[in-house]
Amino acid sequence: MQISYNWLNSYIDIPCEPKELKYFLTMAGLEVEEMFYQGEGLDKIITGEIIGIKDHENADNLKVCQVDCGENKRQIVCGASNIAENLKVAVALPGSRLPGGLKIEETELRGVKSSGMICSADELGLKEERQSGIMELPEEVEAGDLLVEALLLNDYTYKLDLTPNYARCLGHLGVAREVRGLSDETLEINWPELLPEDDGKTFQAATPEVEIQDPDLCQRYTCRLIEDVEIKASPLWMQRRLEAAGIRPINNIVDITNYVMLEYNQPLHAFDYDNINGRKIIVRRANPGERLITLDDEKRQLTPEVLVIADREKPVGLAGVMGGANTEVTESTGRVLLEAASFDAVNVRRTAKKYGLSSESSHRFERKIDITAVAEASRRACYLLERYAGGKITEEMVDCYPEPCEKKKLQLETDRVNNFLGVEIAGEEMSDMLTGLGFEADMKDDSRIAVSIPGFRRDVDGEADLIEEIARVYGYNNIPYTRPASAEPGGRNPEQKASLKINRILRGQGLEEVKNFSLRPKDDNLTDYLQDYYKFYLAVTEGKSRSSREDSFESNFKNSIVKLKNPLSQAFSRMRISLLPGLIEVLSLNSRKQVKDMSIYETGRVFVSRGERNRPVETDKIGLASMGAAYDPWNLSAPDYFYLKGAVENLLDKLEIDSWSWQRIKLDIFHPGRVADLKFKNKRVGVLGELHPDVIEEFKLPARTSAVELDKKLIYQAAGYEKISYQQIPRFPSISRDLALLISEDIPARDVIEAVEEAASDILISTEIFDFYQGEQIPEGRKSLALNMVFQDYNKTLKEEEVEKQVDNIIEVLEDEFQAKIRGK
Amino acid sequence: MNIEETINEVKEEFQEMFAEAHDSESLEKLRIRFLGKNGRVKKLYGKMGSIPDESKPVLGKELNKLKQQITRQLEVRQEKIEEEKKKQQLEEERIDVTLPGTRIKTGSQHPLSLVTEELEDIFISMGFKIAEGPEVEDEYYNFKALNIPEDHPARDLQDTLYLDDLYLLRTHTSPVQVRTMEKTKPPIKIIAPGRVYRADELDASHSPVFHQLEGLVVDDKITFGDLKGTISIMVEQIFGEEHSVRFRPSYFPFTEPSAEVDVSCIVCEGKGCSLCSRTGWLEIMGSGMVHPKVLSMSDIDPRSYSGFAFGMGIDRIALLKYGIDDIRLLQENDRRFLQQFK
Repeated sequence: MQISYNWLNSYIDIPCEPKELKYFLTMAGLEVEEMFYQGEGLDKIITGEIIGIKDHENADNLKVCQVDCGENKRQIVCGASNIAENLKVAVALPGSRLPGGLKIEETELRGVKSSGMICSADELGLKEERQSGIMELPEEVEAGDLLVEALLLNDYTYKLDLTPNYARCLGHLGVAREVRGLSDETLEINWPELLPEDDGKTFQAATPEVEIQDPDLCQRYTCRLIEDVEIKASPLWMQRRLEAAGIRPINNIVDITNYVMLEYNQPLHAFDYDNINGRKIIVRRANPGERLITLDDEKRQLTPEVLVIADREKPVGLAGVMGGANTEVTESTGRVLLEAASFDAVNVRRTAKKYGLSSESSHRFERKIDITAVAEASRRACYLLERYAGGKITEEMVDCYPEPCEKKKLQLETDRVNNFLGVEIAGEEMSDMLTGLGFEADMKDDSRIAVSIPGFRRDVDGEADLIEEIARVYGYNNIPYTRPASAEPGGRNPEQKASLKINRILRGQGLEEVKNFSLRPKDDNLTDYLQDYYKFYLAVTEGKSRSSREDSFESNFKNSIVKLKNPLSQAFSRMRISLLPGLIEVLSLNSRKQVKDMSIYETGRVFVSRGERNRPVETDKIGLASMGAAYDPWNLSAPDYFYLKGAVENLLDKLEIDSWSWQRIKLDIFHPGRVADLKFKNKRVGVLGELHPDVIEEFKLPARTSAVELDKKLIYQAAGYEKISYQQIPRFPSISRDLALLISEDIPARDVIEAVEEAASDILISTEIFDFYQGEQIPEGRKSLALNMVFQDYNKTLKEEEVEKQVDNIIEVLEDEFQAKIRGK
Repeated sequence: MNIEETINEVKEEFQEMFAEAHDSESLEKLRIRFLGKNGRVKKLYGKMGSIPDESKPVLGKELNKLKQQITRQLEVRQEKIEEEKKKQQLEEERIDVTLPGTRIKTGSQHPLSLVTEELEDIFISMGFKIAEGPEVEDEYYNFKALNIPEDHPARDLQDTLYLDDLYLLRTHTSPVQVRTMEKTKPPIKIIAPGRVYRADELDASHSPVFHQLEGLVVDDKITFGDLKGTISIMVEQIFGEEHSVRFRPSYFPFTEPSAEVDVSCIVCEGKGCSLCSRTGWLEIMGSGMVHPKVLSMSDIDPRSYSGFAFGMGIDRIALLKYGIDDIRLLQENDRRFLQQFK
């Protein structure tokens, strides 16, 4: 909605300057998105009259004009083809500037002096598209006047961003009421002139009969016959005001209907009555198979959900949305049927949506219009039609209003208003505030006000709405600042605290936090790699064994991805099923930007479908990924794998998670020999692996890039850091022993450690592998491991012999179980 | 030869040689020559037997003195040499103290979680708890329970992404309000940060995926003034006390009265610039008193309780706070961007 300062000012003395009005309206809840001066850049442009035209001596396509500019006459060279004697034109004098920035100077054009420029509408910024000739001004313009005054451009326009509850402000009169209510309730509103009430008009002889077949969709329908209309341009002032409101002038009939709509917020429609068949208007649902070409020349296939205006044989308009081309007012129209009605908000909205056809009219009906003012708006239009279209009105208006709307009444308790807002306003004052806005307020006693809700306030439904009105008038910014009391302390719950801790630990490992969209593209190579990962995933989320569901997995994979029904683009049309694709893309992006090494993590939610019309499973995950790590602890060309493994192990350790283990698995997205599954007892928690070389190649990643995904909830549930209890520092010395052994390369290091721990008594408090070697001097198929073991007795100093006995036992077990050869023995 | 003279000779000889001895090696040679098993001093002691008894105490004393003196002189010089040596060694160990230190990678925090954590802490300090909810919602929680009926123009305020005819991606964090009211009796004082979705094309200022932080307070005697006080503290904390805040009537279906909250422009401080579209103010959140219908729908009696709610875009706060001019940077994860947030 756009409003004009001058137009609004014609109804009420606006108590502030144009620039202040912007702030005033915004603070009243009518947010001004933009404000502009219509004559922007035109203040120096004047009007002139061409009083003589001569050929240019040196150029065939130029003419030399004598222009009467009021105080003096000027010679101006002009090339436009539409110049003519006595034509009123817009003149830019030397020293002025056009809105586009062009500076006008005294100049010579092909040797002939030219002092000024005759302008076209586009040069003045009054038309967007390029014009073929100079702008022709109306005859009544006086030469020498300022152009902005002659064309009524000395006005400001305000573009309002109105929320749905401000429907009343979709007309200037509604805005005038707001200005009164929010500035000074004693200001007078100058109501527009109307056609007098119907005294003297004859009964309807030619006027059609109206039948509303669906009164639930059309609560009121009025129409009036206007005869002998003369179709022509509407007066300049009306055109200007329409333009200020952002509406293109068409002809006097259409302009008047639009003008009144912009006054009263009542959409009106004018039919060419000679094209309406059988003196009857029927408001009904469309019949199946019916069609209508609307005023925008689109053919609309109608269905029974759509309400139409019809004559005896055909639809002539989409009710409340747009008229039909078959009854359009044209230059030959002589009799007009003026419709003013009230249609159901929901039905209009559905029809407008169905046809993708949002009109000025549908916009207003969707937000509910003032059903009590329908006839008044019609009379206003009739007044203007008589005046500016030569219309003759001899017959009464038909007003089909089966169930007149009763005014809603509310009771307001002043205490509740004050308690709700945290203010102290007297009842009298509240009553005045509401009256200023157009409510009828009646003080019952000191504490109660009976409020009757006017028809233009159909947004007001209960007490809270009235409280808002009082708050608005009082001024939101005048309400004092207070703070609610807190009965309980605030804070995070244990799981939320754990989340923060997890984030801190990961950052402490040198990982950078990233955030990826949870929406993914339709064609998603990375997610395709996750077919078997997804089986694994389901096992994690549903705790079911892998094999029992295996068969259905292949076919189900595609169905398990949550798809959007109405994506805006294919690029964001699926929900992520894992954090891994996003993490891989982040490393890929940075790798292509010359980043050599980078480690990242993300905590976020992933989604698995359980079929249409079922709530998808949402799971919070922790993802890690690393490329280009430098330190390769075991010389296995697996620096990223072991960096991430260390980060995860530190995480588990800091969270005091007791027993966890890694196990070799196979998953398509990872290198078949470099991926492990993390388990807490028998529960799968996540996976760690080096990306498959195919993925690495496809995404131009450095070799050995690795990634992890863990289930956050399972990690949290296993965490024990909150129950830390101090254990005494040992008072007796510990004894450390190293052991180097040769074993088959197939035996996992974890098995060796487990065997050692099992073989020793509980005086063995730590077992660590500190060296791993394969190659020269080590027989084919074997590897060398070096272990460090620490023995500690918390109650006494250990004797060498005790430790030796333990070590011997360990060696025996290693030899037996793994055919280990102890080096240096 | 008189022993007395010999003592003096030895003394003189030592002093001569000592004057030349400047390293540990020569000092050791001197020690052997004078104090060794067959050294000069030892030999003098051997001669003590052949001198008259009456001279013995005097000469013995002399000789002891000589021995002590030599020992001491040798010791002192040795110490001095060692000290020199140490000094020299330390001197040699000089390093370029300006070479870079060993920096362990420290990671970084994404600006969105940085701001979220900061906001959470501000509200926690005012007694709020943190609530969470699903990102996939249904019509009831996302719209109906928030007084947004079907076919109401309010639906136009948000373009919704649907999964099917029952489920949708939440368009705001407000459903968490409803879920909280359903399972908690007042007093309620929560915030709910989270991810939300809209059918918006991705450009510099719009994104189909973004984040909101919702707040809800319900108790007896909660006022509009309480809403203003709570929000103004948050604004002061996050943007700095020099910024002013204003409340402007607005419309949200689930609050009444509703207010848009503006903060004075962080770039121009109210003078008007391109960031604030020359208004001097930046819109940062929507807020209002919880609509009585919303309370009723969640079984809270609006005659006994009142409440306020607010919701802000975390992404927008991050953009404003850090002066980021393109929302896409928040999901692009370019390292040169990420590393600016510590």
